Amino acid sequence: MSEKLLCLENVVKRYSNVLALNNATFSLDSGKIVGLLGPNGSGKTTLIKILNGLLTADSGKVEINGLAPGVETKKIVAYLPDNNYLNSYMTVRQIVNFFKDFYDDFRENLAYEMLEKLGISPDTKLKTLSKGNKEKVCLILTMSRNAKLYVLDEPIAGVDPAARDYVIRTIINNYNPEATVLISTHLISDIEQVLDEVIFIRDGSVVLHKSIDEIREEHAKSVDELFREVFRW
Amino acid sequence: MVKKLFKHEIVSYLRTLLPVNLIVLAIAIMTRVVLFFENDSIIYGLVAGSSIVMLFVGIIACIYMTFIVSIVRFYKNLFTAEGYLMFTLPVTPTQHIFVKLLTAMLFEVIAIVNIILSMTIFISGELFVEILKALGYLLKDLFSSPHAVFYFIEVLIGILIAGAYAYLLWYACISLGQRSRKNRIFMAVLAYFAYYMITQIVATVFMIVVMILGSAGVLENFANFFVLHPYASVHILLIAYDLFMAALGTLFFFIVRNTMKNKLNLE
Repeated sequence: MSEKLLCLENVVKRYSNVLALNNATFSLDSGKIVGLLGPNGSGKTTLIKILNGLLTADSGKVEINGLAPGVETKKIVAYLPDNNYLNSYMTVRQIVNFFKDFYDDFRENLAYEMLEKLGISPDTKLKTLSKGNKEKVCLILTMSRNAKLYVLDEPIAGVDPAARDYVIRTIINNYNPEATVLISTHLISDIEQVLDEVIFIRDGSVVLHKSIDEIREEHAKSVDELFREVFRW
Repeated sequence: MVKKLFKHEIVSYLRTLLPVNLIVLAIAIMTRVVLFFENDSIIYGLVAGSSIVMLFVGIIACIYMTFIVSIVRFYKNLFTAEGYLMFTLPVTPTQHIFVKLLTAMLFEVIAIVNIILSMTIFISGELFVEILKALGYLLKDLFSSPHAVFYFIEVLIGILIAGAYAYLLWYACISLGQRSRKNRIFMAVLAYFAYYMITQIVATVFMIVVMILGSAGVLENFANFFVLHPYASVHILLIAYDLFMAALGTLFFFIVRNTMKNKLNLE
């Protein structure tokens, strides 16, 4: 495969009788913010889990920086899942120290800076935080890494519009500009303005992969409008 | 990475098990103090009796809690939402299993040491001195044979292997449960009972075969060997047991590792 940061080639993943990924193929360069867009059940989370080594593809190739998902790719991939994965009995300081211990690229000062702006004390127990604040803490931990690939699974789903702005600002202001950010979402209009490229995924297959400029030139539509057209019921 | 995982694992265990162990120790001290005021009154009898019962209940609870906390920790930390964090760390499945197992066994040893300490505090005094003396005579008798040291080592290794086996069995059952789409905890418990039933059936069949062969005189040479070489026979049995349990433990380890590497599907 080429020197792309991320390469997927004919990736197939099946759960019993359900074909979650059907020869999914695309590749990404470094330094892009890419939207992985599709309706519920289209295969976005399955694809993201495969990138992060949480699922094994049945067939096909997946390479991140030339390597199959494993210990070495986990060092350069920062992942934000769509659920709260933190141990609620830990304090904020303990989870920051946890990330600092395991990830060489973790920027501790940046994490504490962002937490201070949110008004969250390092000695706060995670279980005392609201759901929204827990999600923000998870986002801060992810974006405090100086990773080569950020994979954010539905970072703005289930949050209010003000929080969505916060999430998008946090992503833009803190990611490594030479890295690629892959954002999975079905809330297009909120995220469209920050994207460089979009990938549309339906029934486990990639149906479109273009830059925002190409979409506007070729289709004379916004991404949101094109999405509604492509995924019309 | 193993050291870091180990450090965080120990911190997590201490949160639950340190208070339990301290409580047992405190009850032992309290019981000893109560016994110091020994007299014939009914109140003393009630207080001392309750204290002793609490101590023994605490000891049993300490042992069981250590095991249960370890198993629950394995499941919760790796196969629930926390698994999204743990399995995206730059750590191999082998390292995860190794650290979980080592920490569990460490806290079992800590619990046992704490129980011995608590019992020592409880029976401290003249009775303790008598028990120590009796233990000394027993050990002197036991180690009078040159084989005793090796028996001791083989038994100690067997205890450690059996401890690891017990945890790895549950880890394997939990892992097998994870391969199911639904009711994963139920499937894990089912796997455990299925394994238990299979081992009982295999053991029974083995005993029947041995009895049949024995009564047909087929095992006469083995029987003669055991009679003529009793010490060597015990070594063979102990080593065979250790190897058998180690083999089973290794099998369970690979079941867990295979699930984590190839069949992981966190909900």
